[in-house]
Amino acid sequence: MLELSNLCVRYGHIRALEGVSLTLKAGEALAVAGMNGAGKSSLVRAICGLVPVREGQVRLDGQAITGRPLHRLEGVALVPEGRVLAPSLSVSETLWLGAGRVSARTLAARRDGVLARFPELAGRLTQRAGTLSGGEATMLALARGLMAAPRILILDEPSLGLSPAATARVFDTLAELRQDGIGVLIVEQNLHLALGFADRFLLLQHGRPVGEGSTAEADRSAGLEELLLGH
Amino acid sequence: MLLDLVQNTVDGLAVGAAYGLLALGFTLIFGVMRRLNIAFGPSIMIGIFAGAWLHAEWSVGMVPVFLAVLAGAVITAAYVERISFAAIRGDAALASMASSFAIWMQLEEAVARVFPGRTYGFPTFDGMPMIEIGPVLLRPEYLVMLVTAAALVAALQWGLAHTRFGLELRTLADRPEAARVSGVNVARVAFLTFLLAAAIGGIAGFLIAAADGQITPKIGLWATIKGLIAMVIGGLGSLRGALIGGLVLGVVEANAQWFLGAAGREMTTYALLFLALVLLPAGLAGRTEAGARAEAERRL
Ligand SMILES: Nc1ncnc2c1ncn2[C@@H]1O[C@H](COP(=O)(O)OP(=O)(O)O)[C@@H](O)[C@H]1O
Ligand SMILES: [Mg+2]
Repeated sequence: MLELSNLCVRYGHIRALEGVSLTLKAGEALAVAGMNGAGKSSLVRAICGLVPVREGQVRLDGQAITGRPLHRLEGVALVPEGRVLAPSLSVSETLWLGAGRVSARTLAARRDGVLARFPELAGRLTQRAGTLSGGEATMLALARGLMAAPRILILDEPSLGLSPAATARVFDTLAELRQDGIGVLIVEQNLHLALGFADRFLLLQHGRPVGEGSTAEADRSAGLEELLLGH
Repeated sequence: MLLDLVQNTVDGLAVGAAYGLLALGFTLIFGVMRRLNIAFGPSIMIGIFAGAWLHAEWSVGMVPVFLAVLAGAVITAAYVERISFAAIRGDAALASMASSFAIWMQLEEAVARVFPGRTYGFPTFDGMPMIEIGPVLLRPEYLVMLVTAAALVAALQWGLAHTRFGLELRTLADRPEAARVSGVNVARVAFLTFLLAAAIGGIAGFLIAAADGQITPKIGLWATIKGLIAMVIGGLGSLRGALIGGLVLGVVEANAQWFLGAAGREMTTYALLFLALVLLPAGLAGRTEAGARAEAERRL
């Protein structure tokens, strides 16, 4: 289980995140929403130790992991904003990269599992990541994250720039992962997608949490919808 | 005349292979950290002096001398990395360079104090016969240079393509952020790359010192300059280019030395550097790394 308490991130004097708390259990999905610049990516990056945490704590299964870089975060994987693939690596190498330092047997087993989920990648193992289409690149970024065999998967706007079909494909995969017990924390601007997929939501504005709850309630509350849309 | 040209080219290729190894070390560090390590040559110089000292004090054979050079270069590089690169923030490239410059002076001063004479002997490959290929002669130490460089480059290529460390190194050179978000321990890879570069440089330094039979503390600066020029000729950031750059530099220098003398050689070297910068800003190996990345990102 992932727990954040009173997390604060600052860049110089810019307060990107102020006092955010949340929990995420196995098999659960939490959507983080908010306008551009609301602090969503800062939240994600702080959990993964990619930006310094000014205040507050991150816990994984009760253990304090605040500020730990990803290579010391067993069980957490990130699908970052903009996918961030290394263009010169092949699809196969990108998968290997995501697996971390594991035995050849573990690597092969994970690869088989991941490629079964993404058959479109199986036929492109030697293709360079830089030559993939947007949809394929997103699948590869997702697959790279899954190669780490995470219990918690964190995604930062995976649907950005994707066709509706490719987006639907991403969310179908995420739904399957939840069934397998993986906790999913997803930053998503598309409200209908976010609320339709997640159990709970967290709404950020200027770095502060301004709304949270179960998505079932949010669907019924017209006021929240307005808040989410930023009116 | 033609025979001289062929002979010089053979000699130049051998020395150029050692230059190529120096450039390879530079390129590895530059590719992964995007910074120049001015103290690269002086780290090698420390290793060479460690080897020369061991030989003078204990008259040990070539293998222990070689190991001492390797160890000296790698340990010094670890020191340089900790002081000038790891300790300085990721985006402060100029500070790293200035700091590695200061360390270079520190290392050279230290060696000049411990070894106050100007030149010292270095063991050579004695007892190996001159190799005759028709009318062309190949010095045995040059054959060792060529074979070692070829084997080292082949091993490096293989390691980069097939090992986990090679994969992490390539990712870091290609797109550091991709390494970070994929859970690569970036600081560890950078440190190990630094040591690998020093080991390659140490091997080159050992071969060069063994071919010359004598060394001075200036060999550090010399190695930095030769490696830098070969890297620039080959195109910054490309391993293949570094090797080609070294070979071209070696061949041009050997011929210039023969036909124009020592002063002519220096002038030709700098003319070559100038031409490389003006005519081939992307180096002999073709397009720049930045260009390749921009191209790849347009598709992403
Ligand atoms: N590296 C940085 N340096 C300075 N300011 C930053 C940096 N990254 C983000 N910010 C600022 O922090 C705020 C939150 O950014 P971010 O977390 O990226 O928001 P979101 O992902 O919700 O669009 C914005 O005002 C942004 O300009
Ligand atoms: Mg963002």
